[in-house]
Amino acid sequence: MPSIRLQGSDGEIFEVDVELAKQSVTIKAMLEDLVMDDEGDDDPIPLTNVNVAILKKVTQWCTHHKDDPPPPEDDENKEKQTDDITVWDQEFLKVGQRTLFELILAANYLDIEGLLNVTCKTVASMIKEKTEEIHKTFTVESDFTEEEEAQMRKEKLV
Amino acid sequence: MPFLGQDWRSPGWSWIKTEDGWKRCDSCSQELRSENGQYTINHSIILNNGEEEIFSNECEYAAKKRKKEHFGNDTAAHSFYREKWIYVHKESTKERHGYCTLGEAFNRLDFSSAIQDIRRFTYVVKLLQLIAKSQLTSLSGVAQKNYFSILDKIVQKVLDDHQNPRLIKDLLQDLSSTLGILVRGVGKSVLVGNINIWICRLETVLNWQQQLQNLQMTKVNSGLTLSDLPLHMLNNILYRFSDGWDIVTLGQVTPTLYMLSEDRRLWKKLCQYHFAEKQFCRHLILSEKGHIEWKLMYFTLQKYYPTKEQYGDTLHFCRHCSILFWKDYHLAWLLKDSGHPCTAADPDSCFTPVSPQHFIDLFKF
Repeated sequence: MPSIRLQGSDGEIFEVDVELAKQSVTIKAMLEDLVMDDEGDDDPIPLTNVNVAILKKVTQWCTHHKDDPPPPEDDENKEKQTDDITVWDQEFLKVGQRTLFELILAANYLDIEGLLNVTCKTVASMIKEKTEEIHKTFTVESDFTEEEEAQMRKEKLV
Repeated sequence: MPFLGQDWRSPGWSWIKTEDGWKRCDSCSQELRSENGQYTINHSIILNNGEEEIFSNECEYAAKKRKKEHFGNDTAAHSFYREKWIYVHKESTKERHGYCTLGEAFNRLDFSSAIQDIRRFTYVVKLLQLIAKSQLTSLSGVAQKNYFSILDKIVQKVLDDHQNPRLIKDLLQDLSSTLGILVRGVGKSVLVGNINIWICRLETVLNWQQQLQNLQMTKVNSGLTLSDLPLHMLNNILYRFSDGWDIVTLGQVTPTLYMLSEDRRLWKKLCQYHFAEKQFCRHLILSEKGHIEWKLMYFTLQKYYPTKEQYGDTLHFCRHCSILFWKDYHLAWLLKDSGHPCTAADPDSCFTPVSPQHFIDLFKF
């Protein structure tokens, strides 16, 4: 199987099967550009926003999902569902918060719809039903001033 | 007393003791392990006690099929679990095909493994909630034990992974108020079992509520936070919430999230998801400029109408066989097995998903 080389943000080179890489719309577009240029195909494709550790995880996901049928047209009902994740994906995403966010950013950059969907669903289900104090574990300290916070607390009584 | 093994010469079953009672251990798994050494099966196949012959025949067939199918192909094999089903009879005749009350269904459908699957978790919790509201007095002793042991697993899971806390708090609230009324009010005449057991259970529930109240998430200094995600990603996540309170709460964390959470389109989508056009018209709220105030409307409509229920996976009912069962898509693909011994010509057309309320109604006479 032909493979291509990808260069992560840390400079490391990672080799991956072409068909798998094409699940990423970004890489697919880059490959089409390269073919047009007809340059030597030894140069690795630089991916400045993804490090190789995350690339490996992404490849693992793509390998498992390579035979997936294309997702159906935007289903209004499906948008609000956060628990329809397959068992394999559930296990795959049992990683730390940092890795999960890195996977979202990678899926966004590489434009892999399925992975983006499933990671966002996971984060949504992690965040929901919690109080704002607990939300602060997911984000930096609040930038609100005291007056603004008081105002918001009043509005919450709506 | 004739021995009802697979055939009269077989050495009998081996049994293992589990917290749900004695379960029969399937010897097929040992056969598979010895013949196909390279395939590891992490879970031995456990049959529920008291299954009829047909179920053990199904297991044999399934085992043979598995030897032929390349089990090692799929790394998800370790998540294989045995299907459970129960016959539900509709007419109240004197003849019955087995014991089928709500409590028995509760025992046989193996909810304790279902809660480990997030697709089924919310569904099972909703079922427990409906039972807590009205059906506690109809459960047999064993069903009560199972109910509370599953509840214990659920609470431990929530304390562990911090998911779905509000859902469980609501469930425990309903349960503690019902138990309170039953134990102090109506009491001994209605409850099955010694009143002291029920008092103990009430104390356990109050204890769980206290533990959940004290639930603290430790701050993880991981460097990457929600704020590092680009705006459209945060929006993507906001659009996935089906409860308005989650949107409001998230909006209180940073100014950026506040701005995103006030977006009119977000609330419009939410209203359209839960409520119908007719319901909007009855409770229309307009701003001074004549725009629809979707956020206010959402909270108003919520007071009058029930919100939409949607589950990742539910129990299914086969109209042909009158059987209630879990569908296992993985098994169904691997073994062409629908989850119960179906005799219909076209199985898929007979299956309907069962809502939690429908499940309770199936067992009302």
